[in-house]
Parts: sequence; C-alpha cells; structure tokens
Amino acid sequence: MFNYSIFFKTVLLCFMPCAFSLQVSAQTFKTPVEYMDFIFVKQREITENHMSYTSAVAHGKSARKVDKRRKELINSNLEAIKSIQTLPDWKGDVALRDSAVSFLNTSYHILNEDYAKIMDLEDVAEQSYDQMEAYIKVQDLASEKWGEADKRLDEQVAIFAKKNNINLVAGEKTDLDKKVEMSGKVMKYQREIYLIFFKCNNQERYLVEAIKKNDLNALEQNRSALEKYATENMAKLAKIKPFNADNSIVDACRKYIQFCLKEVKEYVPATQDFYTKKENFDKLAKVLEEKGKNRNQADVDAYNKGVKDINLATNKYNASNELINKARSEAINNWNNSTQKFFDKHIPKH
Amino acid sequence: MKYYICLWGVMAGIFISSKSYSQAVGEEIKLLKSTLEANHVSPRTIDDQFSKDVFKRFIKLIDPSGLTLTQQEYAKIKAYETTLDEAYTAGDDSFLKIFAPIFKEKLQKKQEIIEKITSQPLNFTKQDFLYSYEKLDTIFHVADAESLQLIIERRIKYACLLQYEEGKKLKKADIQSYIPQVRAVELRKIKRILEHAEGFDNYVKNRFLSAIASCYDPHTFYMNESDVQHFMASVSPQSLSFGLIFSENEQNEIFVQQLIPGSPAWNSNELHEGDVLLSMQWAGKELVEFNAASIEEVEKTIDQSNQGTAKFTVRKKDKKIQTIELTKALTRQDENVVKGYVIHGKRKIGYISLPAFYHSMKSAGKKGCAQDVGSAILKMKKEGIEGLILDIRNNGGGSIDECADLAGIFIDEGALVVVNDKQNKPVIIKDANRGTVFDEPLIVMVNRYSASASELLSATLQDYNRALIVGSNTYGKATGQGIEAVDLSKGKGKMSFANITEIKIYRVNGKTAQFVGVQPDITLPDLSEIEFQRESDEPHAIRPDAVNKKVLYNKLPEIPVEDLKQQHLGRMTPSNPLYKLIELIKKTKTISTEIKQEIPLELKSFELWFSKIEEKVKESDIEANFSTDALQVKTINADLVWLEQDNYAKKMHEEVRKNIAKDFHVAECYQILLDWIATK
Repeated sequence: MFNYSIFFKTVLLCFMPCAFSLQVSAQTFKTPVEYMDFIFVKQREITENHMSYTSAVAHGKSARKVDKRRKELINSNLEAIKSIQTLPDWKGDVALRDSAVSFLNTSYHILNEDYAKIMDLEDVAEQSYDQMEAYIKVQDLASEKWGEADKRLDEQVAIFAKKNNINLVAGEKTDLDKKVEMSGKVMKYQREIYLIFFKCNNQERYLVEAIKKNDLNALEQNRSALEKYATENMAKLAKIKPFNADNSIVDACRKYIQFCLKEVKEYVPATQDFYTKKENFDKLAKVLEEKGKNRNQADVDAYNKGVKDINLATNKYNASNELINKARSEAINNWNNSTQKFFDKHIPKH
Repeated sequence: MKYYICLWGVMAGIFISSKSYSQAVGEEIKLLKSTLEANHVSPRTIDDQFSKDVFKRFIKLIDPSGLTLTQQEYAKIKAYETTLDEAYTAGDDSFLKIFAPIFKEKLQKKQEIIEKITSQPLNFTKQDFLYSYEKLDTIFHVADAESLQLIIERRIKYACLLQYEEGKKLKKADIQSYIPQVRAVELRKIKRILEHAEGFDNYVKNRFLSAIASCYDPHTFYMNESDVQHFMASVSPQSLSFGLIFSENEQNEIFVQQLIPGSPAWNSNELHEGDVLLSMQWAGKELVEFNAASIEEVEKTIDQSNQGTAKFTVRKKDKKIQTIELTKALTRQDENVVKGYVIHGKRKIGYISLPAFYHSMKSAGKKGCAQDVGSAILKMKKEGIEGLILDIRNNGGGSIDECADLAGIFIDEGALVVVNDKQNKPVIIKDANRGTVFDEPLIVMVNRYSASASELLSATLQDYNRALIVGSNTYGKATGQGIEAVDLSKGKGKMSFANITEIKIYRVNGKTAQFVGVQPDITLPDLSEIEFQRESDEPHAIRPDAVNKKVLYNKLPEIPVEDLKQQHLGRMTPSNPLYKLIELIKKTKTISTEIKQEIPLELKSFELWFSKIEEKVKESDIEANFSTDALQVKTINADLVWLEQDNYAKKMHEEVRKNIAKDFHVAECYQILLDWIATK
C-alpha cells in the first residue's frame, strides 16, 4: 500500500520559503545582507534535499534509496539548526535568527514524527476516534503549526530587511523553485481527495469490524455513519476539478464511495436480515428442544421449515459475502494504483 | 464493567483459606479507615462532626425502632458522641466494649417485657392511641423502663389490630387469637440479634463499621464476610428460578437486590430492585409472611418447590402494596431480554421498558442491555415505527459502560459522560461507534426512582437535544462505586469488603445530576410525589459541583419543548386520568398527614380508622380507577414465530402488553410523540 505518512511530510515541507531571492546591494562580509544570506543558503540546501526525497518517493525508487534520502534530509535540517543557532545577534537583534531556528525545529519534529514536541497529543486523542484519525488530525495540526512558523519567519525577514535598509525583490524562479512549487500543488490536490477517501475508508473499517464481531448495534451505527459520510463526500468530490486534465484519482475515489454506498444500502441490510433470521431460528430451536418428548408433529414441521429457511439464507449470505469482499479489494487497489500513477505522472523528477 | 471485574477478581480470593482467625476489632477499624481514605472520591474530614454523625447513624442502625435503649442508657453512651473520630483514627474499640453489654442486657429486658405483655389478654376496649412519634420508623429514646413497656404494649396492640383486619377476610374474628403470632414475630426479631449467626459481638461491630462507611456518603457501605458469601451464593447459576436476588435492609426487611435479566421476575415488568418482600404464597399452599424473617428463611420458602407458581407480595418504593404471580423457569442466558412492543394508532410508535442497565457476560453468552435494546429497535424499525418511547421509570441504574453504549445508539458521535476520580483527572467516555441505530423522535420516561445510570442516560440525551425527557425529577445519584477488599489477614484469605464511592459523574455540559437529579422537559404527575426519598434527603449525600474539562459535543437542533408542553397541558382536562391523578395526589398528601398523627388502639375506633384508610387506598388505585385501554399495543412480528411455540413466554408477553396498553403515562407520551412528529 502507498505510504501516505512519508508523502504527507513532503507535502508539508515542500512549501519552504523560496520565493525570495536577494538583490545584494552591499557585498562586504558581516553586513546584514550576509547575515541574512547565511540563513537563506542553509534553507536552500534543505529544499534541495526535500525535492530529491519527494522525487524518490513519487517515482517508485527503492526503499533503500528513499530511506537514504530521508536521512540526508533530516541531517541537513539538523545541521542547519545547529549552525543558525550559533549565529551571533545582529546588533542586538535576535528575532530573525530565532524565528528561523523555530521554523527549522518545527520542520525537524515533523520529519521525525515527533509531534508531541509541537502540540498536545492528549488533546488530539480526545478529539479523535482512533489512532488513525488522531494521526491524520496531528498531521493537519502540524501543517498549521508549520504554516504559523513559516509566517513568523517571513515577517521577521521583512522586518530585518526594513531595519537594515535591504531591498527584498522577488527574483526569477529557479528550476528547483519550479519543481518544489509543482510538487506542492500535486500533493495539495491529492491530499484533498485523500481526506475524502480516508473518511469513508476509515468508517468502512469499523463497519467490517462490526460484521466480524457480529455486533448488531455497532453494525447499524457504523452503517448509518458510512451512509452519511459516503453521501456527503460524494457531493464534495463532484466539485473537484481534474488536475491538469487528469481526473484519475477523483474517479478512483468515486468508485470506492460508490462501493461503500452499495455496501450500506444493499449488503448490510441483507446481513441484518440474515442475523435476525438466525436469531429467530435459534430461539425456535431452543424452545422446541426444551419441549423434549412433548413435541408434536406440528412442532417437528415448524422446526424442519426453520432449518430449510435458515440453510437457504446462509447460502445466500455466504455468496454475497464473497462478492462484497472482492468488490472492496478491487476498489481499494484501484485507488492505490491510481494514486501511485498520479504522483509518478505529476511530481517532477529531481 | 471495570467494577464488575474488580468485584469478581477479589471475590475469587475469599475462599482460598477457610482457616479461622481472630483479628482485633481495632485493627479492622483502622483498615476500614485506610481503605476508605485511599479510595473514596471525597473522603470526609475526621473531626467531631464526623464523630457525631457516626454516633447518630450507629444508634439508628443498631436500634432502628428506638425501643431497646432508654434515655438512661442513651445518656451513658452519649459521652462517646464526640470521641469516635479519635477512636477511628487510633483503631480504638473501647466504645464497642462499653456498648455491646449494655445493648445485650437491654435486648434481654425487652424480651422479658414482650413475654410479659403477651402472656395475658390485651385490653382493646380502652381508649388509647399510638402516637406518630412512636411509629416504627421513628427513633425515640423513651424516658424509662415504664414508658418503654407502655409503648411496646401499644405497638403490639397495633400489630394485633392490623393482623385482625387482614384476618377478617379469612373470617377469623377473635382479636386475642392474634397475640401469639405477634409475640412470635417480636421475639424472633430480638432472637435474631442475640443469637446472630455472626455472633452477637460481631453483629454490633459490623453495624458500627457500616455506620462509619455510610457517613462518607449514602452509597458507601461495609460488607462483612457473610454478606459477601451470601452474595456469591445468590449469583451462582441455578436451574429453575424466579430470578430474584434478595438482601436485607437496615430495617431488617428483605428486599429485591437484583433481578436476573431474562428471568420470570424480570419479564413480569412488575418487580423492581428495591421492592420489599412482604409475603409469598405457593399455589395451593398457605401464605408465608416474611415479617422479621432472615434471608435464609425466605430462600428456604422459595426453594420449597423447584417448579410451579407462587404469588409474591411486595411493597414498592412508593409504599404501594402489589402482588405478582411468577412461575419458576429457566433463565435463558442467550435470549434477548429486552422486549419491544409497537403501539399502533395514528402512527406506529415503539415502546421498550428497561428495568436495569445489565452488563454483558460474554462467558455465559449473554449480551448487555445496550445490545438488546438495539436489537429490539432494529426489529421495530422493520415495522416502520416513527418514534420510540424508552421507559426507564423505576430503573435504579447499573453498568455505566452499558449506559454509555445505550446513549451511543441514539447519538451520532462525541462525548457521552465525564468521569472524575479522587486524582481529579477527568476522563471523557465517548460514543464507541459513530452513527446511530435510531434517528427518529425519542421520549425517555423517568420518575423519582430513576437513578444513577438512568439519570446519566437521560441527562446525556437531554444535553444533546436527542430525546425529550418526560416524567418527574429523577433521584439524584451521579456517583460510581467499586468494591474494595479490607484485607484483615494480609493476603491469607479472610477479608471483608467495602463498597466505596470512587467516581463522580458529570453531564457533557459539565454539570452533574448528583443531588439535584435530571429535570424532565415535560413533567407528568406521579404518585411517588406523596412519599419519596431522594438523594438530597440523605444526610451525607455528596453535594453537586462542576467538572473542569473541555467537552466537545455537537448539539442537535432544539426540540420544540414549549410547543409540546402547551399541547400536553391542553389535554389535561378533568376527564384525563393524569388530571385525576393530580387531584388524588393533593388529597392523599393531606390525608396522609392527618392519619399519621395518631392511630386508635380501641377496637371499634381502629376499625373505623382502618376502613377510612382502605377507602383511600382504593381511591388511590390508579390502575383500577383511571385505567384506559386506549392504546393498541402489539408484539413485534419477528417475535411472534417463536412465541407461538413457548406458552409461558407468550403468557408473560401478553401480561406485559396489557399493562402497557392501560398505562396512561405511556398513553400521554404517545400523544406527545404524535405532536412532535407533526412538527417535523
């Protein structure tokens, strides 16, 4: 299955601030420009590593290679933190340095999945139903935190530049800038659809568990919840436009939701009927068993009819079980393959 | 569930060793103190006030009728009133050493008085009265031996007169002939204490420890070894049974401690936990009264026959006397014990009555009540119900987990209750499953005896705007108890137990139903208004507070409560049984104060007084006087197939169905639901 966890981190970090380039107006070392540039150079190194890591994941590089790139990325981040941390103040001003360190620290914790360092995980757990949901929520919150740190850094860059009479001008985008920007767009688009898929998929997991546990209440509750999510998300999906004329993952997600709707409207009610029939048959069998020798022909006939009905219902239930499991596997495989192909097609190679 | 597991876990250890040992009473007092302080959610300050409370409680427990000790003895022991706090801390049992012999002597003296009074005919022609302060439920320490004798004589006369009135139906006319019977009961009461199975000194000690525990709060209590053993025996599997587990209350009465789900008692829908057992009569046999009987005697009577039918007469919590006929049967562990009924009429409305929140016992293949309610609802949905009435009147509570699961089937997602312990770390219990089993309008019927888990359920559904709560203000218990071992032998097997209030429970809105109960959205009159006790009437009830915890929950749109209330009031015309009930309550309240003043002990005057009471009782028989068969109640189709094959179950089902049909509280709820559905 596709590794969303690794990919999501790249979504977060592909928005590293790279839109600014410096129009250096004073060339001497130890000028405010040089001071600022030092920070930017470190950032650029990290962006390079991000892009090559993203590319490795998107284009199906071997696990060993992906892991190697990941380590390089983490190391470069740590390296940058260390060197920027040791920067002296600029004429008593530490705001730029500190916001850069804070920004890099946030990135570093996200890359290491050390989310507890940037948010209250207990609070997140209380707001979520299970670990998977909590994880998704943590990622969204991490993204927010990262965005805030990014904004603070941008502000400090502007303040620092103004204070020191540095002229910040938007420069020509480099090849790397363009790749990073494109990757960001691809992943943002995919994430939006992934969340729709996830909401239904996660709910469907509960439904399957309830069926396995023969838990009738949980089955009905999860059935109604999935019906609600599937209907709501189908409407959301209808509003999403293709990405550069590519509608493949929207289609794959739609097919999966269509499967869910069929499951809640046809398969689950049939399962519930089967359970009720079985429960009634068990009761009938028990009552007749207790009658022992006092059973009459009518009792025997009622029992035989019950056996015949329950056998028919069992066969029907088993057959529909097989069909639904097959349909589920197909829909999920289709989603996974489409996602992998989508990344391969749209993430620039680096 | 946690508490249940905890209970069985510790109980398994009880029977490891049967070696007897002697443990200093002082040590046991100290151990009880450390157990209570380690576990109680808000332990009391041990000071003079605590001492006074324990003293008062102990006297009430040991001499509930106030007819053993006179003011003379009372003065002697009163010296200890403010010293029990220090004794409790130090594990000092000197109070008991002083008290026990005095009490023993006075019991023997009382025995002599009763023997003397009842050895000759009593004078029922003399104008005399039993005054309200001498009535059995009042503590009154009489001045001296002489007045003690007078009051005992009055009470014996009163008991004879009551029996005489009962006997009239059997045409036994001579009042003097009832004296031996009353004498036997009175002497048996004393003998049960003097020759108690635990030993007299242990009896006194256990009452003292019970008094201490109950001063922490009304639901904390001490269980000695024999209580525990009795409990173990009563829950062991039986083949055929009525499904009743009994216990003894402070007044030495036998009451229904538990109904076994799925048993005949449960299925009757007429018996509830807390009902006091007065008598029993096997079909074709003599009536057996349980006045001053022990649990063993009751069980012996019940076990007389392994099958057959018997009538049980109980006193309900609202003091109403009721007789219920039951047939011993096998309790089917795997059967759904919750039965649903569909009320037909303008619209189809489901009705489910739940007498207790029982939990699942997976080893016995038994589901919890939430599963059973859910399953009944699913069947009713198939029949197209448009609303549901969930009746938890008289439901005294049970498993919190089951309560949360049950709330969850009506609520999509979110927090259900907040639980806080002595560490003050509030925990949110969330809905285990997203989604609902039932989305249509829901009425939860409650009354003053809906307590604990019943209050949590109604509070949660009210906070979410999920259900309309109809009935009377609930009891007011929002705490949870756990059973902890008071280990006397340091793990060598012998121990007693304490049932301790360990958690406080809060509504999702941060408030609590503790002390205050749940206020219904629409109030219906209830006979229990006349005489009832709520949590707030208990002397050591935990006061309400709020929990400091952010709780996320999404309220549903408001229910048009005001509109529904107005429409309900519009139906309260003189011909409505509920209107008549309000009138009756007003009248009965006045009369019950009047008749409580003094009871005549002269035969003719008593007969007059008694007939007046009987008349009032007849008037207050709401079922006989106001019943309507307005509701068309039907069994669920899915149940019909197997019910056809099971005559006993069919009979029980039919009884319950008829009772629902004539219940005018249910009828009003049906009307309210029709109004509600019409607004949608």
